[in-house]
Amino acid sequence: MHLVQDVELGTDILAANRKLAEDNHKHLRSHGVKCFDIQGAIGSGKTLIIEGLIDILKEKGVKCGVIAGDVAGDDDYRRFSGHGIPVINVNTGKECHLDAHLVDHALEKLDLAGLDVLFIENVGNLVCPADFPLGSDMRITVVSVTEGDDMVRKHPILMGTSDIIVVNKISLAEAMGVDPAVLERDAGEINPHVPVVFTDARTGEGLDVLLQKLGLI
Amino acid sequence: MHEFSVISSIVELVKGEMGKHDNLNFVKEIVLEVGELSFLSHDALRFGFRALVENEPDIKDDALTIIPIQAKVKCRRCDYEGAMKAGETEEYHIAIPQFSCPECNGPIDVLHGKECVVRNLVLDLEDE
Ligand SMILES: Nc1nc2c(ncn2[C@@H]2O[C@H](COP(=O)(O)OP(=O)(O)O)[C@@H](O)[C@H]2O)c(=O)[nH]1
Ligand SMILES: [Mg+2]
Ligand SMILES: [Zn+2]
Ligand SMILES: [Zn+2]
Repeated sequence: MHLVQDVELGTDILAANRKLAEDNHKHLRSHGVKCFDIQGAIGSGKTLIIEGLIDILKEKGVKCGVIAGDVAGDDDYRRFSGHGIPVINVNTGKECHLDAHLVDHALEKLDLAGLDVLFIENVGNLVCPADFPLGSDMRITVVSVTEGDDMVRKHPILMGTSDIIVVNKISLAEAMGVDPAVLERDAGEINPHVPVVFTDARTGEGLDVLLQKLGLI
Repeated sequence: MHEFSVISSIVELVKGEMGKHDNLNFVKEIVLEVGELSFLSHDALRFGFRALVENEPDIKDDALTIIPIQAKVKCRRCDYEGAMKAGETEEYHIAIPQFSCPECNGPIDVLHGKECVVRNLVLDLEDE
């Protein structure tokens, strides 16, 4: 005789990460560290933007640290280290995103008492990080004009759930035949409450506005 | 894509549950709820599942049922709680989810739609 039994579970597979992210957030809070994580495609300018922000903040006496997430290698780690700040390199190997557990381990290696601001650069991947909050105060999504003017509307959920959208490489817009206003308008249609900031990390244009939106100046 | 690691966690969970039943014949169904705001591809989940249970005779390879869960949001400004505004934008004529209140256009919080929940298992047991 066969007997069919129904077993209720209700287990959320993503909940463990969310819980760890909340713990990370509390941990950072307890040391008074403001944390921002940056996601975006490979080459969108995440590293160069963070480098620019660090330099401005350093001038003002704000102590910054970075967690550099990448699939492999230490290229970004070295770029950040060149600014004389604490940096932790996290290689995700086969995984396509950082998760709260990896960030937790990176936090153990940082002297949080000596930090005011922590930046987390996520793996260059525009989709996967969205399912894995890390425990930051704000999530910044970077798109660059070189990715085309449909970049925002092609990724509505990602853009709609970001806290800030940065449109980078703005000085290349004309050469690319991309109108940055289109990206801003699409963002406004998806979520009118998400600020859009235009930057050019190479010239430093707009980084002051970004710092203002992050509540750092 | 992280579907494979997600489905691996699910299979581990199911195996843990299987261990509690001495008289198990096989796992007939695994009901998984996937929120429409998560970035888990249903096809990739099914593909990973089949690959993983190939060597698990006690889990049927068509056991995975995926139920999409609609997003539910709450307005921070008015009392609205419910479905998202899936506005067809004038410009593109495609349904683009909109992250503002359908009633007052205010800022919203997402209550449901990002989850990936193993709701229940259906086990075929030997009646002793
Ligand atoms: N012209 C220009 N180049 C940029 C800008 N931002 C980044 N880049 C260049 O684009 C390339 C990728 O930048 P990087 O910061 O490494 O991108 P990531 O992969 O997102 O971290 C590098 O060669 C940068 O120098 C920008 O705003 N303007
Ligand atoms: Mg980088
Ligand atoms: Zn992934
Ligand atoms: Zn409202």
